[in-house]
Formats: sequence, structure tokens, C-alpha cells
Amino acid sequence: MAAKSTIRSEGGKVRRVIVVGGGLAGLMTVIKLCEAKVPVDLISLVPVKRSHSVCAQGGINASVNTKGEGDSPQIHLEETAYGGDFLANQPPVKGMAEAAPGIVFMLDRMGVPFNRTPEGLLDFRRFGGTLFHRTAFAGATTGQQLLYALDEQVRRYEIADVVDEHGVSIPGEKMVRKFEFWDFLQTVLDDNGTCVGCVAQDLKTMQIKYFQGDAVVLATGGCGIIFGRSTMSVICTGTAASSVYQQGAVYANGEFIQVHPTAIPGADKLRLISESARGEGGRVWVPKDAKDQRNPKEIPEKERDYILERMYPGYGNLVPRDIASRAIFKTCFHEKRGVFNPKTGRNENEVYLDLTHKDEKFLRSKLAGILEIYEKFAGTDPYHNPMKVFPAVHYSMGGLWVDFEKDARGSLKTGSPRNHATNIPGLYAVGEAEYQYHGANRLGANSLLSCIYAGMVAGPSVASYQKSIAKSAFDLPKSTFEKAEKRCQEDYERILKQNQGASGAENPYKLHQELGDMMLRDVTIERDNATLEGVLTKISELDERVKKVACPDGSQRANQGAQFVRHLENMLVLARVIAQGAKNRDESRGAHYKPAFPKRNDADWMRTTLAKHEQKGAVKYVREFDYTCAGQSVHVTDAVDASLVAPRERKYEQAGAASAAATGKIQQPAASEQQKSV
Amino acid sequence: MANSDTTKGTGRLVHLRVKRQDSPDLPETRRWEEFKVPYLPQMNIISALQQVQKEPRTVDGKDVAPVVWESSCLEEVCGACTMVINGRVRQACSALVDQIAPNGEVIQVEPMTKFPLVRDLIVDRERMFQDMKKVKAWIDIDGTHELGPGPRESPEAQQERYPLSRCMTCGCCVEACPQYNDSTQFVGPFALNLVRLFNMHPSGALHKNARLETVMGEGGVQDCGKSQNCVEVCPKEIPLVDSIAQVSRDATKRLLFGWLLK
Amino acid sequence: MSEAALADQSLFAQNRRAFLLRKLHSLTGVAPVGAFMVFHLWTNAKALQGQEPFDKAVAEITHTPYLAIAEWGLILLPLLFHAGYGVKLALDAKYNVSKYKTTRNWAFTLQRVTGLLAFAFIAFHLYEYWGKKLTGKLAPEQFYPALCQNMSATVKGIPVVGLLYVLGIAASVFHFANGLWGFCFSWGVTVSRRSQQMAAAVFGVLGVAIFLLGANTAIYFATGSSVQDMIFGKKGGSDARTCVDILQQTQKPASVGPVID
Repeated sequence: MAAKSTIRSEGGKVRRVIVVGGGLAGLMTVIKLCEAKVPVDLISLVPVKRSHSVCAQGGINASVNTKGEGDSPQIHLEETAYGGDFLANQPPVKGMAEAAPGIVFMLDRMGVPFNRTPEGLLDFRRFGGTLFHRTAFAGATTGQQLLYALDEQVRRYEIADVVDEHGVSIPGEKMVRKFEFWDFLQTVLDDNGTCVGCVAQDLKTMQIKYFQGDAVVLATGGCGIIFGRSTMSVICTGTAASSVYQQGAVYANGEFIQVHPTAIPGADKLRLISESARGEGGRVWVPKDAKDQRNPKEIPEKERDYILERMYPGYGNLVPRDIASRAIFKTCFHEKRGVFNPKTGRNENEVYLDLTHKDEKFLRSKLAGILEIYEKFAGTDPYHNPMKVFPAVHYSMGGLWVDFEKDARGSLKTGSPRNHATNIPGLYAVGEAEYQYHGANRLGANSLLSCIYAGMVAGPSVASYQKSIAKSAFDLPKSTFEKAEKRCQEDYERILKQNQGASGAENPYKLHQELGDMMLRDVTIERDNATLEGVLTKISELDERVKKVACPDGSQRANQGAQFVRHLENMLVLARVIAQGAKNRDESRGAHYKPAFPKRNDADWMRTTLAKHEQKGAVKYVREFDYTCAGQSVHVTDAVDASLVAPRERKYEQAGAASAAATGKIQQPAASEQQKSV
Repeated sequence: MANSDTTKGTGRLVHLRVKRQDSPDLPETRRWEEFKVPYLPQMNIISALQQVQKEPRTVDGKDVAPVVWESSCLEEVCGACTMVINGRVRQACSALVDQIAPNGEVIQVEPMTKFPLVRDLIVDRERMFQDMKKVKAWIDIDGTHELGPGPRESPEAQQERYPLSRCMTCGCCVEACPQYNDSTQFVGPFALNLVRLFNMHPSGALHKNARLETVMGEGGVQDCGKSQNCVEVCPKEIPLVDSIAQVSRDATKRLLFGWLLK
Repeated sequence: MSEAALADQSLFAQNRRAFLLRKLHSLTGVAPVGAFMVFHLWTNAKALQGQEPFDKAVAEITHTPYLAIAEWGLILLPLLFHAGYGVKLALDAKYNVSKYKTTRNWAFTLQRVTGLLAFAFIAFHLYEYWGKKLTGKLAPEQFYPALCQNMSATVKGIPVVGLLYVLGIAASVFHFANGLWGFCFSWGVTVSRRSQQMAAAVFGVLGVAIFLLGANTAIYFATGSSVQDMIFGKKGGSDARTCVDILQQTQKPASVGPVID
């Protein structure tokens, strides 16, 4: 029993869907919704062109196989599943790998200036975890270029009229309405617990306002700022995901935090040096003599230890990120062989990332964007001097739990309202905010792909959900929304007023630094249960101290202090989910590594961590739950769908180990289908 | 895991002088405030402002609200943190203290002047985004469904187009442009650059005239005063002047001969 | 707007007005205004040969058929438009050369400053000669002596009017030469940075030459000697009455402005 019109509510209002977040995933969702003739309200913390997607550098994966290497989406699927240490449900990964070439072609048509071969075709480079040239790229600012392309397409919809069923334009109604500088606060749930809109705050005027929406799609990105400094933008606090988690959404695999092996240390941020530096021939090394004081250029070849090439001859510098980070960490922390600094008289936590053997012109055409960053922020010329880098928190594989429905081929069933649905009916999640595609470790250049693919899937999925609902959010009584708005308003007032003038009041920025320092130290590359126990105790302490925070700003305009207090409270909630999840998981898998449990344990732990919010300061981990999607009850368990690629031990010492199809040495898993040609 | 020593101070102080205003409708709150914060290695203006957040106290010992500013990526690729530093417009993230005040000189920080003020260092650059709509800065694709690869392009053409496409709408070019102000509707160098960018693309060129037409009206390419400040301040070194010259040529051609070719 | 609608875009469509005005402004600056200035300075240079060749040149112009139409239609109206619209442009700009001290930003600022100066100078100059000619207060053959007398008038030994003329010519010529560079840019003649640099060099040299041409005459009227006279010494030859003769005939007033009959 669906509503009569999908364009107008019974009351005659235009029925819209809300997308929160204007990065790649959010924008792609908006475009797909518009193509499905669903008008959208797009709410974004920053002008969408400034979303964190701009920071992605290296490229986007697609097995187009223009280099004649025999690459295929099947191999892409296998390497992604293998790279993710078999924690990802495979049907969505298959869907993504198969859609990838089409996605890159679509971006190409949108005008993304991808690098070209002499024949005028798309050029591809190598990235981690594969031996194939699979990564399309636009210089070394691919994320920026992709984001701009989608932003431009969305701008077209900003001036397009909403058209009703009869093809008549509705005056004054545009397909997309943008609300930039708005902070998402909460979803609005009706009496049945269905998401019917959200409440957000204008960060200029501080006005709090509700938005009605037949569905809400969260595309709010990762949560790296929980770790203080990371490669993420300052806006990536995970506040929206945390907020809906506290409203009942399940959070999955939170403990899987990717640490990128190569970043430039900095006071405010750890700036990424893309994997593409290694994809284009960059080599990681330290001097064999730990006390070597020479200028790196004077150290002869045989006195250098190319650590990754030595430890992993098969994939060398292009092993997956978790493995490279651990190798660098081991070299610097356990072996104390980081680059020696004569000034401080000690071995710093730095290794060389060397591109100096490459031709400068070649580097300028392919890597200028990142080498420019190094030059600007580290102050030395990377064309002629090896860069000094160290691992940094980079990506959250975990995120809001989202569903999928598979088709007969084992891929995603397009248009199913279950795809990308969270367990709160009407609430969807895409991009880094959800957990779906990367398992325990994300392969480089799969993130841009997963964001765009998620948008392509979520658009039609939300459109079919909207068709299924009996009553539009726009026909619900106002009181439902006003209640939620009032709750948010009260919470904002609380933040402004609490502890003002109280002695011993806490500064939120200092508290955040304490949280970040600890998370960075204790919950990243190597994890230890006793230490994690300490982390959880400390988080409890911070939970108490955050109640003593006094907002440093009393202004009713652009009050970033109040905004930050809110985000900090939400960060603490997710920090617990991450730390507790890490403590529970007694095995090593992908980015989660416990020296005390160095092996992967499929028998006990090949399962998704599902976290449910109990109350402040408590997480409940569940093995299964039921939820309702488009009127159907769905039973969910934590079992991983590994129906397409059979799990096996993950090793990168030997070339080709990551994919069965590539080597032919390992038997194809039974459930996998023959690859259709693209 | 990370080197926590980067957060330790060295005793050296960084001296900031910040222009503040609580709200656009409160000009009486316009003031300069000075802060001294501990120096950190590889410090930039953002980390200096972050230090102010932790101890929002002026050099006179007055407790004040923390300075507010806009920032996102901190690696000069999002364009958010543009402000006027020592009289010159640039991104605060790439303004390194060691370079602009190596001997502890006062660093003067102001908001951009060409946009409506929001508060302190935050301004509203909406006009730029509106102008991107005005000049039709996009490729008119038929849809996102699978239609095969885009048009082929030579590596040389890509290498010419890519730098133009790196514009992050940061506002440096228009802040430094004497022609971009309240009394003109000039779309600014960045928008003209986008016209050139999309007119260069094989599919974009199909709508070349429609795009040119948008910059042959009020606020169009004719408003360029040729001071060429834009190209001097562009953090991404986009050849903005070349773009304006190219668009000027195309517009002139269209003016002179367009009507003949009907 | 669809492509079809665009094809019907008239040259004078309402939304094209700003573009057209600006193009017209740039065009009128080059021709006829700029071109006339060069012609005028060239004609004036005949003064160096004495009054007779100068008067002859002036007479030739005075007896041009349709003079009034040419004067008004080809010179004065374009000049008025160029000046009037130029003042608007100069007032619209928000100058910032104190912050961004690049050569081109200086040129941008000076272009507007010299435009305003040239406007004032030309208005004064027109009032002094062309206006008086029109109202019959000054006959064409009186130009030469009037010029000699006016421009050589000194205040405390300084030929103020002569200096004013040199400055006025400098402003006008800079405005013209830099305007030519700008014309080439905005009409799409010089697109590459290299061609812009070359244009800057060419117009720079041209500007200096035109300035010398104009300034020399002014100096001659003010001092009785041209620059080449000062360098190479005076040559006899022409029988024509010269500035020196005129100044010797009339008693020099001690300190006056322009001579008024």
C-alpha cells in the first residue's frame, strides 16, 4: 500500500529525501536520486567542494585491462577480499568490482582529466595489494578531480526544476537544495522508530531546524579525528555516525582502523604521501647502519635496507597498507633503525621514501600534487631528496552497519531497498561512514571506488524504499519533528550553559588532545589487551571529565566551540566502540594486529563485530538482530558471506598470491562464477 | 605510535595579531587581538590558531572566545582556510611560521575582504559557487548509466587541462583582483578559467557558445582589468591569465563573427 | 538557454550591453582617440620648423571638408564616451597595489590614474585652444604665438604650463601605450604569456617614441629650443618665424597663466 504520488505528499508538499554529507558518496547518491526523479535536500558540514574526498590522491581502481595483463573484475574481487583478510561480505565487493570500469568511464565522460596513454586511452598505474595496473588517476589529486566532477553534476540539478507526474515543473522547487555549513545533529524517528527526517544546525547563525525526508542517507565520512592527528580532514570526527549509533543504529567492525604507511609528520596534521608514490616506483628504505649520519643520497645502494622488498619480495613496496605500516613500525620501534638524526642523537620514527631514481619530468606529470605537498610542508625538494615518512591513521574500514541483498549471480541485487540500509528503517549510509566493502583492510584506490559505487547503489535503493512507504514523512504531524528539534535545541543550550564559570572546568580542545594522543599510541598498529583495558578505563574517565567541559565560546554566531563540544562527546562514544571492539577480538586480521594473538582465527572471529549502544559508557556486542526494511523483517547475523572467494591464509611474500584467478595455482572457489567479459 | 615529541614546546613563542568581529551587523565589535602561543616544529597558522583554542587569552591577559576560522583538509587542496596573512591572501595551512616569521615577528591575520563576513576569519564565499552556476561550469552528460568510455584525449591535451581543473574555489584570485568587488558583478578569474576548462573538453566544447555567452554579459570577461594579480596569488599556480586571454579571444570572435555564422 | 535561442542572439541584445560598451571603450581608445593623438602630436611637431609650416598644417586641417562632422563625430564624441565610461571604470576598481606590488598591478593602477589625468589635461587643453577657436576668441594663425607665450610662462623661473603639458602628454601616452597592450589582450590578439611580454616590449618602445615626439614640441614652445637643439646646437636654415622670434618681440610677462585676449 504505497502512497499515491512519489513527488507530492497528500498535503501537496514536494517529497524529498535527505542526503547528509557532500563527499563522493553523498554526491553520487544525490545524482542517482535525481536521475530517479527524487528531489533531494543536501546537508553538508562544509561547502561540498571542501569535503574530505578532495584529499584522496592516488586514484580509483577499475579492471579495465588496457595494459593487456589479463586483469578482470573477478581478480579485482579476489584481491579485494584477500586484501581485506576475508572480513568483507563478498557480494557487495563483487558488485563493486564489476561496476568499476563503468564508473571510471562515467567519470571520464564527466570530464575528469585522467592521465592518458599515447593512444588517448585512460592510463592506469599500480597500487598496493595487486600486481596489475588497475588504478586510473588524474595526476596525484584524483579525489579532488572526482569530487569536482560530481559537484559540477549536482550543480546542474541545483538549477533543475522538480517535475510532477504530468511533466509539469513545480515553481520554486529545485531538484537539489543545498544546505552548506550545516551540522547534522540527529535523525527524527517517528513512533515506529522509522527515520523520517533529521535535525541540523546552521553553523553561521546557530539556528537549529528540522528537515523532513522520506529517507535519510548518511554520507558523513570517517572518524580519524578521534585519533587526534591523522591524514583526515579536521571535519572527520564521525559525529553523525556516532549520533545515529546512539539512536540505535548498529556500528560494525569499528576496531578496523587503517594506518597508512607513508605520511609526513606535522603538528596539526599528518599529511599523506599517497601509495601512488610507490606505485610509480617509490622505494622504502633505511640505512643498514642504524647510526649512519650521511646524507641519504651519499649512502650507496648496498648499504641501504629496502625493508619491504626484503621482507615481501613478491609485492615489494606495494604490499597492502597494514603490512607496510607494521613493517615500518617494527623497523622504527622494535629495531630502532629509523633514520638517525645527528641533531637529536637518536633514531627518529622515520623511514625514507625514495623517488630520486625517477626522472623529474615523469614525476611531475604523475605525482606533482603529492610532491608539491611534501615540498610545501616538509620544506625539502622530493625530486632530489628522499622523503622522510612515518605511518599515520588514514581510514576507518568500520562504520555503520548496512545491509545488502544478493542476486542469483551472487552480486548485489540492484534496486533492492535493503542495499545500504541501516537497521533504522529509512536511514541509509554510504561511503566511509559505513563498513561494507573493505573488510579488515582496505586496498589503495578502492575507497574512491567504494564511495561512488555505494552512491550508485544507494540512489536506486532509497528510491525504491520511498515507493514502498505508506505514508510520506511530509504527511506526519509536525509535533514529531518539533519534539526532535526541541530536544536538539535543549542539548545545544546545555552545552552553552554547563559549567560556565565553574572551577575546574575542562577545555574541550585539551580533552580531545588527551583522547587523541592515547588512541594514537595504544589503539593503532599494535594492540595489547592490558593496554586496551587501560584505554577503556581512561575513556570512562574522559566520559566523566567531558561532563565538566565549559564551552569556551558564548556567542550565538558561528560558535565553533559549542560545535566542537558536541563532536567531542560523540567522538568519545565511538572511541569506546573502537577500543572495546579491539580488545574483544583476540586474533590478528588485516589492520587489527595483536602480537599476543599473531594468527587469524577464522573459527572464532571470521565474523562482523556488531556494536549496539546501551547507554552512555556501555557497548553491547551482538551476534544477530532483526530489523525491518520496507515492511519486511530481516534477520541479520554476524557471519561473513564468503560465498565467492574461499578464505585462505594471507601472504604477500610470493607474487600473485592475492588472487587465485591470476596465478591459476589456487583452485577457484566453488561458489564463484565464471567471469563474464567486460 | 606517533612521535609525541612534535607536540612539545621549545620555549619559543609565536605572536599573532588577529582581526576579529563578532558578526557582520556588529561593526563596533571590530578589533585587533594579539596572542602569543608556544612554537611547534613545522608549525603553520592553523596550528597556531589551534593553540589559541586551547588557551584563548590575549597578550593583555584577557580571556576571550577562541578565534573562529574555516578549515578542512590542512594540505592546501580543499581551499577552506583562505585568509589574508601579513597583507597577502593565501591558505593558512600552508603558511608556515618558520617562513613568514622566522625571528618571531608579529603575524597579522585578517579575513578576506571581498566576501560578506560571517565572524572573525570566516567569510561567506557563496558568490563564487553561484557564479559557477552562471558560467555553466560542467559537462552536459546524458546520465550516469553505462555509455562506454568518454572521448579520447591526447596526453598533451590532458596535461593542459589538468592544471586548470585544480581550482579549489579558495577565493585567492578574486580577493587580489581589483575588479572583483561590490560595485561590479565580475565573475572573477576562477570562473573564466572554468569556462576555458570546459570549452577545451571534447564534450564540453559542444556547448562552448552557451558558456561563452554567459561571460559576454554583465560581469563577464570584459571586466578583467588585466592587473594579473590573480595568477600571482593562485596557490595552485593555475595559468589564470592565459585562461582569461583565451576566453577573451573566443568571446571577441563570437562578438565579431558569431552573428555572421547563423 | 538553448543553443537555438543563442544563435538568435543579437549583437545588441540587452544582456550584451556591458560587454559591448567595454569593447567599444577599448576600441575608441585605440581608434579614433589614440590614433588622433598620434596624428595631432605629429602635426604639432611641425612647430619645430617655425610658424609658417605649422600654420600651413593647421590651415590644411581647418579647411578639411565636413570638419565639424569629423571633429564632433570622429574625435570629440568618441573621446567623451571613452573618458566618461573610463571614469566609471576607474571608480569601480578597488585598488590594492600597496599589497600586491607587481608590474602589471602597477600598470593597472597607473592606467586608471593616467586616464583621469589625461582626461583633466585634455579638457584643459581643449578649453584653451579648441574652445576659443570655436567661440572666435582665437584665430588659427594666433595658435603659434599663443602657444609660445603660454607655455614659456614661468612661475619663479619654472615653466609651469610647459611642465604641465609634458606631464599631460606623458600621462596620455602611457595610457595609450598600455591601452594598446590591454587592447591586444582583451581582443584576444595576445593569448600566450610570451606574446603578451612581446607586446609589452613593442608598445613600451612605441610609447617612449610617441612621448618624445610630443614632449619635444612642448619643450620647444616652453624654451625656444627642441631637445635636439639642446644636444646638437641650433641650426640655421629655415626663414620661418620661430618661437624665439616671437618671444623676443613681445615682452615676457613676469608671472602669468594663459594669455587671455
